[in-house]
Amino acid sequence: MADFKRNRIGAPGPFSSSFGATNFILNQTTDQAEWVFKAADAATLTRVGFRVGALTGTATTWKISLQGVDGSTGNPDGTIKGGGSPCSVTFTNSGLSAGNWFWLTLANSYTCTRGEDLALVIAYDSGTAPSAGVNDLSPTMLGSWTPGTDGPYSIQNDNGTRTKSGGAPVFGYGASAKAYGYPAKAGYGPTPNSGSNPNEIAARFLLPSGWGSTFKVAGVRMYWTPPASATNSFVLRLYDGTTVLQDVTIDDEITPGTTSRAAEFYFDEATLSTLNFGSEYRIAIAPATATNMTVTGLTVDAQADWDAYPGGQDWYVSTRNGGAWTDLVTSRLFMELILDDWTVSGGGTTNIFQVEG
Amino acid sequence: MAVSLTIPTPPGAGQEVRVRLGKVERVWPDAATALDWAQSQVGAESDLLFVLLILLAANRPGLRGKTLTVNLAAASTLVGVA
Repeated sequence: MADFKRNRIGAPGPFSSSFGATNFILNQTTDQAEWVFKAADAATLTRVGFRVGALTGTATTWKISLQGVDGSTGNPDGTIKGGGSPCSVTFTNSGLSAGNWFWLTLANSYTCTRGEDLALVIAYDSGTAPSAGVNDLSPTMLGSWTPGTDGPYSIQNDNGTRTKSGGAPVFGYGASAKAYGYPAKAGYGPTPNSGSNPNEIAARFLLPSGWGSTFKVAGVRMYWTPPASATNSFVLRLYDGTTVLQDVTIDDEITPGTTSRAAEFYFDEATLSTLNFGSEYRIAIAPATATNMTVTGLTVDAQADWDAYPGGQDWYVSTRNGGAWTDLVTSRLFMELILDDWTVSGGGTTNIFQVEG
Repeated sequence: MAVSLTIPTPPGAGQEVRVRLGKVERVWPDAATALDWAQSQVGAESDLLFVLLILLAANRPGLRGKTLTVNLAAASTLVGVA
């Protein structure tokens, strides 16, 4: 056994509120949507992505590109990576739709180093000049689900005047088989009660077998909106399949209201269950009364986009109304496990042989 | 410089709230989430005009759906309500 010292694992990044999009309208030839970041890995980047907040018309051609960063200003340096084989691609609003995430394949790939300063830029390229309400594009610059952050960050470039924004930027870049950045499509905010279908919302998780032998879950930290009354309780359950391993009823400690918040809840068993790396488990929230409560999370466009977030594709939502679980592989709760134990090795027998000389 | 600010009209349950300030629009999945965000931003370095618009809409029913015109260069003088 190894005391894991109440360390936490599982949240898709820090969280403080539910998803809310900030969109910036490109309605002039000199407007740009910009995101500045340090490459998370050494990789050959073949695609970039963004979320469409709103759009009008299809007559304008835009260009999305990977650029360098001006070290003195923190702004894109205006030079598209790749030289004569530019890492960019042009597109129109055709095929795009508001409220959705889109990956675009670059005309030429770019091999970056880990920590390299890069910028993703959407700008006017050609065709009909942008005009608000006629031909425009409003990329989602950032989501409001984290506190302000300075790396990575987004910049609203309004006719050359740049405004750097705090908050988790919504953007993506990727190799052919792995996504990076913060690809996000929408918030996930079910409002279950004891009579709804589903009436249990769970975080499905799997800690890879190569990480260790066994672990124990002491509790969770999650983001939610509690029910309207302290008499409206819920049950927190740890499942192996549909078998309950641990559970605790949360009631008197609830502070009712309509404001969402983070909360920590601990299981009350004297002995926690020993869980195995490489096995699938679920932490479920089951309202005990007919009054709604809200749990919050994030939805991406495709399960593979979770590779950009801590935990990767091993974490997603499952729901049920009794019976078997239904997996929602593109959604994930703002929930992290508080671990009590993390054992690396399961032990074994040492054999000693004496070689006869 | 005059800027048009549209007070959001709280929609029904499950409907989006959109607040536009110039070229920046913020979108929340529902009114409760928008108000919750605004309350969490009070005292924080943030877009206070967005916060004020949401709180104003929540507390002044007569202003919902209206457009305020504010002259930012003249000590935020309210120019008109329409």
